[in-house]
Amino acid sequence: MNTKIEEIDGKYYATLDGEMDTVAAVEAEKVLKPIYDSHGKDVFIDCSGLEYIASSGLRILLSILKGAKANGSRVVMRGVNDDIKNVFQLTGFINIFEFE
Amino acid sequence: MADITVGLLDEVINEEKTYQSTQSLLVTGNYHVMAGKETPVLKEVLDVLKADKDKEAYFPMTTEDGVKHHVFYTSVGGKTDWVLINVLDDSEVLGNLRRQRVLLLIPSIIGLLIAGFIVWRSSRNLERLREANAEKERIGGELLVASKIQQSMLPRQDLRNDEVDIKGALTPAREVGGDLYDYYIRDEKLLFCIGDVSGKGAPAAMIMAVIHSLFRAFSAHENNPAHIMQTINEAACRNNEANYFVTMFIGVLDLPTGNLRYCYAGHDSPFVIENGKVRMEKCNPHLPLGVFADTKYEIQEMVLAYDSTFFLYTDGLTEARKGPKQFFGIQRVEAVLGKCADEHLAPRQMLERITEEVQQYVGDAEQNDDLTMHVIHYTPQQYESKLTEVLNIKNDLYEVSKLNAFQKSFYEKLNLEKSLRRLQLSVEEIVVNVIDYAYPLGMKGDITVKMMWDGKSLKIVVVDSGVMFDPTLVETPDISLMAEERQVGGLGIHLVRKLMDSVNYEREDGKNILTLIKNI
Repeated sequence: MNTKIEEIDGKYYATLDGEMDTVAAVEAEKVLKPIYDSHGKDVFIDCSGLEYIASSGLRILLSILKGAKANGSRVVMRGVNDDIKNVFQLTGFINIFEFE
Repeated sequence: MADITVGLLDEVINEEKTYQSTQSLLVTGNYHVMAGKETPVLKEVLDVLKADKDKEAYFPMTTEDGVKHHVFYTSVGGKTDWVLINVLDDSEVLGNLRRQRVLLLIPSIIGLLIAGFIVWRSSRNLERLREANAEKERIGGELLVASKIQQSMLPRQDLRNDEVDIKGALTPAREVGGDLYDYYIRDEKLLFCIGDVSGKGAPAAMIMAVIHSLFRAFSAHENNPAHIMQTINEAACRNNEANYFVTMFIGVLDLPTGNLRYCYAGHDSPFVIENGKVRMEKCNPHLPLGVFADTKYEIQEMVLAYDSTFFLYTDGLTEARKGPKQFFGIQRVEAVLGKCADEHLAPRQMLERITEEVQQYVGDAEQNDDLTMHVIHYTPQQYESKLTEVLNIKNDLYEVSKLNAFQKSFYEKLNLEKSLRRLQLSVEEIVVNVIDYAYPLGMKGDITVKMMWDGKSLKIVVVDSGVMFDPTLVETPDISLMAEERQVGGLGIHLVRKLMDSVNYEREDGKNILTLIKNI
C-alpha cells in the first residue's frame, strides 16, 4: 500500500492507497506518526484508494484522532468506501470520525 | 238531704282512699264546692271543668308545677246534679308499675347489650375474615404472576438443532420454587446448568432468580465451569444472612468435539446413556454454593460420544414419595432410564415417561419438593467439506501477507469475492491475535490455518501450539465512548465476532483451536 502526508496552507493531507493489512499498517504508521501530534492543524485523510483496513490500521487512525482532539483540531475522512465504512460502523468509529 | 252536714260529707268522700294522695271534692252542678278541701290542684281542675263542660269522666292533667294527675269525676246521682271529683297523683298510681318496668327492663337491656356485642364481634370477625380472604387472593394473584415470571426465566422451549436435542421440565411443589435449569449455545459451546435452592416456595424462588442471573452473567465470557461455579459461589456467600445454600451442576459442552467440562457443587450425580447403557457419572464431592466463599471447585472432563444422552435432575425426583420413608429412589430412576434407553426415546418422550412413572409411584400423595429434569441428547453433525485448503505459517507478523494471499485464492475459487474483504479481515484478525498473544515474545511456533467449504458455510480452523489463549473471552470494547476515551485493544476480536456467525475456542492436546464459521 502507499501512504503519504503533505502539509498545505497549515493543514495536513494524508492519502491512504491500497490494502492496509497488519503488515502494511506497520509501514503506514512510520509515515503517519508525525501527525499523531497535529499541532492544532486539521487533518484530512483521503481514503478513496483504500480498499481494506484491519484493526491495526484503525488503531493508527484512532491515534491521529486522539492527538487532534487534544489540540482542538479536526480529522476528516474523505472518500471512504462502503466496505470500510462497514468496519467503521461495527467498531463505533463512525460516531467519532468526521466523514466527507 | 239538706240536713246532711258538710262535715259528714267530708268524711264520706275521704273514706277508703286507695291512694294516700288522692284529693276529692264534691261540687254542685255549678261547681260550687259542697265538701272537700279546695286545694290548688282541685282549683285548677275546677277551672278546666268550667271551661269545658263536656269533659268525659276521666282526663289527664298536668298542673302548672309540672306534676301529672289523673282526674276522675262522676255525678253523684239521685236528684242532685252534684259531681264527685277525684284527683290522683300520677307518680303514686303508676310509680310502682314504672319501678317494675325498670326492674324488668334492666335484664333485657343487659341481654340486648350482650347480644349486640356478640353481633358486633362476629361482624368484626367476618370483616377480618373478608380482609384475610382478600389478602390471600392478592397474594395468590401475585404468586401466580411470580410463577409466570419464574417460568419465563427458564429457557422457553426445548432446543433442537443438528447437534443437540434438549428438553427441560420444572414442576414446583408450590406456585414458585427453588429449582432452576438453564441452557444456551454460545458460539459452538452448549452451556447448561441445573440447581436446587434449599427450601421451597417464594423465599427459595427469590434466591433461584439471583443464582440464575449470576449463572447467565458469569457464563457469558467464561468457558470453564469451575470458574463460573467459583464466581457464583463468591457472590452467593456475600450477604448470605439467611444461610441458604444451593446445589448446582454446570456443564460446558463443546459441540464439535463432544468435550464436556463440568463442575458440581453438592448436586445429584448425572446419568449418561451411551450405547444403550445407563451409568451414573461420578462427581467430585464439593460443598454446595453459598456455604464458604473460599471453597475450591474443580473441573471434571469427559467426552460425550455421538448419540449419547446426558440426564440431570434435582432431588425432587429421587425423593418423590408416596408415604413416609417411601421414596422413588435412585434405583427406580436408573431403571426407568434403562427403559428409555432400550426404546431409544427422545428427550421429550423420556421426560414424559419418567413423569408418568413418578406419578404412578406417588399416587395421590402431595408433591413435597420441586422436581426438575434436564435432558441433553448429543448428535453432532460431521462437517463434510467439499473444498479444504491448509496453510502453515510462522508466528511472525510478516507472514500475514502470505495468509491474505492464501485466503484470497480460496475465496476466489468459491466465487466469494463479494464477502472477500470481511472474511479476510476476520481471519487476519484471529491470526494476528494468535501471533500477538499465544506466543510470548521471542517464542517461535507454527500456526495452521485450515479453510473448508461445504456448500453452505465456510469453516476456518486456526490451530497453534502456544500458551493457552482464548480470544473469545477478550472483553468487548465499549464502542459508544468518545474518541478521547476509546481504547485501542479488543477491536480485532470484536470485529471477528461481528463478522462471523460463530467463533469457538477449544484447548486440546496442548493446542489452541479456534473455529470460525460463516454461513454464506
